[in-house]
Amino acid sequence: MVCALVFAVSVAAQAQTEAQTPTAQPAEPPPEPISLPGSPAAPGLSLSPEAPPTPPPPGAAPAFGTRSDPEAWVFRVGGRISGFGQLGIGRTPSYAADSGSIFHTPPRVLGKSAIYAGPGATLNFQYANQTVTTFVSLEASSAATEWRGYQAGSLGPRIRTAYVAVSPAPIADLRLRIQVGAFSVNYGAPGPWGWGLFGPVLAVHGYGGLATGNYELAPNVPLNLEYGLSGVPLVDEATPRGTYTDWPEAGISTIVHHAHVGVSLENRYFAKLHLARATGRNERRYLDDITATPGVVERRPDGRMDVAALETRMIADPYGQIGITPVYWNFKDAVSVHDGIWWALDWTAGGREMTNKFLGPASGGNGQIAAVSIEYDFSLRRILLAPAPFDGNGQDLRVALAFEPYWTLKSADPNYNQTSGYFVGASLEHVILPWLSTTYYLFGESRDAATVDTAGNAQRGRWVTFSGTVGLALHSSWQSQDRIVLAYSRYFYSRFTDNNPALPLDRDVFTLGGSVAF
Amino acid sequence: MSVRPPSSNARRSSLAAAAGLLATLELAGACAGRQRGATPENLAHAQSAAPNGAALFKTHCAGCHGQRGESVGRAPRILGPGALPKYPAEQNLNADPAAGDPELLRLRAQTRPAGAASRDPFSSAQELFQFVSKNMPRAPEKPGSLQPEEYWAIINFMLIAHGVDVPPGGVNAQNASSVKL
Repeated sequence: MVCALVFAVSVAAQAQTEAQTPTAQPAEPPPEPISLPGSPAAPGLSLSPEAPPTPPPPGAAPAFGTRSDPEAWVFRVGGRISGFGQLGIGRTPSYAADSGSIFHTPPRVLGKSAIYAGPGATLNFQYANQTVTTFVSLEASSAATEWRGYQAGSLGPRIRTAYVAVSPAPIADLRLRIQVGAFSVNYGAPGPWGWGLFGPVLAVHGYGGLATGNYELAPNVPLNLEYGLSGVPLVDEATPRGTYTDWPEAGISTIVHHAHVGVSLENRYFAKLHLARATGRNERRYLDDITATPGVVERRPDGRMDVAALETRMIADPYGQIGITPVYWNFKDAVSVHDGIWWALDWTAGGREMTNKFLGPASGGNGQIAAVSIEYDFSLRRILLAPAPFDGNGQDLRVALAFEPYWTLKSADPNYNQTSGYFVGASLEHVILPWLSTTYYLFGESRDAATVDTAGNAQRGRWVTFSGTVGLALHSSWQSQDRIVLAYSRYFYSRFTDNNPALPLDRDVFTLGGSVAF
Repeated sequence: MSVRPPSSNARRSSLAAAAGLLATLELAGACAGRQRGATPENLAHAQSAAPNGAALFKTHCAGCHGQRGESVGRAPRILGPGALPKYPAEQNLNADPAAGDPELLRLRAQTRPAGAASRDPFSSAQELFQFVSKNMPRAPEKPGSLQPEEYWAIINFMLIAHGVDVPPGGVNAQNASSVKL
């Protein structure tokens, strides 16, 4: 609140100063001293900005400035580089003979990390014309929980996204797009940009295809239809792929069908229905003899995970955008469902993770969950300057508020049946100077949970973790796609969460890192 | 096991069904009286009133947006009924190659105010000029690579072809804010 007040006063003072200053005619920008004659573009690091981006026909050398064929194929390279480090100040475990501070890197914390992106990079290659797009992304990352998968990131780069997409010319008011390959697609994010504070409620990844149709029912009333089919293949246990310990689904093929229908009005009001079914086919033989009936082949059943989400969003310019997405999950033996549904509630991947976290380990992946994802994003400067436009090129207070309650409606695990929880988050960034922002984050999570004590008795309790983060962000301009972050986070836990004196959680965390897109 | 090739009748049926679907869509658009791109009258008027802008439009814009602004590819329709909406059409983030990288999307979000659409609303010629001069032409050309007078010429042509009343002498930096879309 204080921050908002200070910001409002500074903007008002600035507006008053501008009002008292005689209106000056905008001066012509000085010519670039080293740009090519007649070119307003500054020279880049490589070729002249006026250099033809496509090769000339044989025997011809087009002059600089020659317009090339819009049907031509264009090769683009882009991506991101991030370097982050985090340090957690720990506490002495109960068994330790020595005393003194203990440092952890990465920190031993639970709950959402506000800004940690992990060290790594993505290198994106795109070769496209107006009709066809080919794309491949090369990723490399060091150890971070979100990158555990087929291969530990520290073992080297990987390709997770590679596809070919075809967008033929419109047929009357119908636009089509077909995409095949390996990729992820995301739905139901209430945030206006990216995926919001708590991510989309449905994301699908794997190998497969996606068909999209967009038909204009009336001017600025488009109807969007989409169907996708993808698979996450069976991975043989003998396949060397890095970490084994946290990959219990190995040996399961998962197929995901997903269909979507959406309509928008005046590009301001959006409503979309998302449906998906992930089916896991259990082919693991090695688990057959570990049950109470040794020698009897007892294959675990195949499983499935169904999702239905109704995404609604509204642009209330200049007051920002609000999104509300109710979502429902139905699980049937979902421990056998691989992570074809890549993200669900709070970036949770696949039936196994959803089971462990929200249905209870004893449920076998059987139950139902409902949630509502709500997010509101706005720019204070945009509100104060309205009706004049503001595109982000100046001081601002960028705000995102999110709340996501959920209910385990039904679970075969009695400790989780008819329980509830919620996520809450706030992100404030005060952009003070072209190169400086202050950042404030608050994230919290609370849910009913259960654990087993040393005597084997189930203990129920409230799993709670909150964190507050303050930091500085350095960037090269108001709207640049780069930043260096220095931040301090304080974590708070319930006794149920921080319940192991032999492995106490860290409370204080320092972050230093940076990311740049290119 | 042998696979029987589809009979010529089956192929003809498939082609007929596809042709029927296309015809239905065209008919639906025609029945709705849907005009895609500038009307012939407005286009002819714009070509005579703003010949320089028409030539620049043909060189730098028509390749993606069509000679009448009706769109020939993935680019949006920019002339005629339903074009140049106040708020931009929603972007299909899943078609964005960066869709699978949340950190990259976070960095991109820094380029716009929180909660704002992908561009500022089009209410006047001034806002249209600001958007076009900063973001157009797209690849393989370079955004912002034209001279200001060239952008104004294109804006003049577009507005006339779109059916907007333009002041005598055309739209320029002085009167653009008063020309409403």
